[in-house]
Amino acid sequence: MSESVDQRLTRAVIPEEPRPPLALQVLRASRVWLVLLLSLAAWELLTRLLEIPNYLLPAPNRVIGELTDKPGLFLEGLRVTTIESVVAFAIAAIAGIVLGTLIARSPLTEELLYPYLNIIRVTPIVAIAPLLTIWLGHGMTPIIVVSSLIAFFPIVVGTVLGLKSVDRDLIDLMRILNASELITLRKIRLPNALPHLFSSFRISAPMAVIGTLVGEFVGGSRGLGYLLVAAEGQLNTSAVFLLVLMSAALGIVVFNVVVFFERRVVRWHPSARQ
Amino acid sequence: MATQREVGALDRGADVDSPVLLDLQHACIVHGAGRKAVVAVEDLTLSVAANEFVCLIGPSGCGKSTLLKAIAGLLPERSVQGRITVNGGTPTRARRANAFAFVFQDPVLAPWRTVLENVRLPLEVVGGSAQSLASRSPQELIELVGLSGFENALPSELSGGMRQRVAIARALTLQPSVLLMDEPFGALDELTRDRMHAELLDVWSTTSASVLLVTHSIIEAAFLADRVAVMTPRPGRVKAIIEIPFPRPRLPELKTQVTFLKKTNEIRTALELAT
Repeated sequence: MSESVDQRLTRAVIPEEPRPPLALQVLRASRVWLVLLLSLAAWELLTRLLEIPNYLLPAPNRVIGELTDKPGLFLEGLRVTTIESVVAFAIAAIAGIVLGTLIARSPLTEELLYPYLNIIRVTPIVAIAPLLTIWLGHGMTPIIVVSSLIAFFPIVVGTVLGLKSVDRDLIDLMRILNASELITLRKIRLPNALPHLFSSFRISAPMAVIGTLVGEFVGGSRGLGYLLVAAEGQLNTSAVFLLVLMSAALGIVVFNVVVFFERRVVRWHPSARQ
Repeated sequence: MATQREVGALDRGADVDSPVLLDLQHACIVHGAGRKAVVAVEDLTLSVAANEFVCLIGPSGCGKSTLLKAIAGLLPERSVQGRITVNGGTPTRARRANAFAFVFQDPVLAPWRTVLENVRLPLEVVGGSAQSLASRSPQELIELVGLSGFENALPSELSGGMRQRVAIARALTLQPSVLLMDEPFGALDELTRDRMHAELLDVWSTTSASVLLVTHSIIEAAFLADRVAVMTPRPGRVKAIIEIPFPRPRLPELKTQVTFLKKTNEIRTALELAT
């Protein structure tokens, strides 16, 4: 009867669950990878048992063998594609943010530009890629242009949405402080737009990788996309598999780099909290 | 002047020697244009003296918020007719001189800024001339509203009452001569609101600002104000002005006293007559 509230509260604390044995912990942490390993093993086994020819479905060890045979060739391709993708994404980001800002802040720009941007968006860029190669030659330039065109639209949309979805009262507050349009943009609108902007980056960054591959497919003389075309021409299916895997890995890395920065920059946003 | 607040509070509203700071003569505010135009406020006459606390009370949608925006010079000039003067000049001129601070119903903090950074925002905006305008540092203001230790917290980590305290600290950063408050405690629970009433009076007593506070709460108006202006439904106009003679500093116990309850009844009756 005489015990204090504090004591009763301490007693009411839910006991921590006992830690599972170490073996189970290791299993839990690695089970996702186990699935991968098991499927690879099954794949390897089946191709050998059924004697599936290499040009139809290469066994995993043949795919890895391609890389260990000619590492220089494939890593050089990866290097070129990475550079092109990153540059294309950077251009798309800058152009997208600038255009998005103009559209969000000026109704005239919106009226004059938005319809044409939509046309660019729905245009199959693949279809005009050969034309760009004719105009811009066989170097990196046409590839980067194709890739930026594919990657930049989500960034425009993200910027416009982010800049427009700002608390009206916060803008009124800035007006009471006689803040210039530029200061309001810098102190309120842009920081407010960052979560939207990063959402668009998440979409755009992997799109820049795909755009680069498309560009290399059509008019490249280097890079993963170019190697893919060459490997397909030679019916070298294990090389095709390897290149597809490398492209996918690049996309995943690029996406996670964006997420890495997003976690740091917009820590304040509800989406950053688990 | 501080002694005047303590002893002479009774007749401060009509004091001859306190100059009129904010003056509305037959103000009429129209929302929108053409056929869609709505008259929000019609023929409203009201004045607020320097260092006076006035509450505007009235039913929802009587144009109180619009009125505050017009006073702060936030509405286009064509939508305001009649005469609104602040310190003898137009609202826009007063705004350019950083005469106003605004506290909204929601705290309206920048969620990516910490408490300290939010309170500092007005200084950053005003820039070079900031030092001369601010008599108290952001740090001191945070202390004044009782948030020491939370300087580096994000708004999302604070309770509703704490966020509103941040908003009040931010409003005082540039030493406004007119503090406009639009139902600042409307979103808070009753106990927090009671505490904020006392705190606001404490904080205000250290400033030289006039306050025009919009509220739905009769108790809030009676506890805070020197005078309560009772408004009619849309289009809003001032139906009655009720003097609140309780001496300052006012303590929370005041709310339980019979004289206070009588005063709230007086306001209630005036409100009922106005609607």
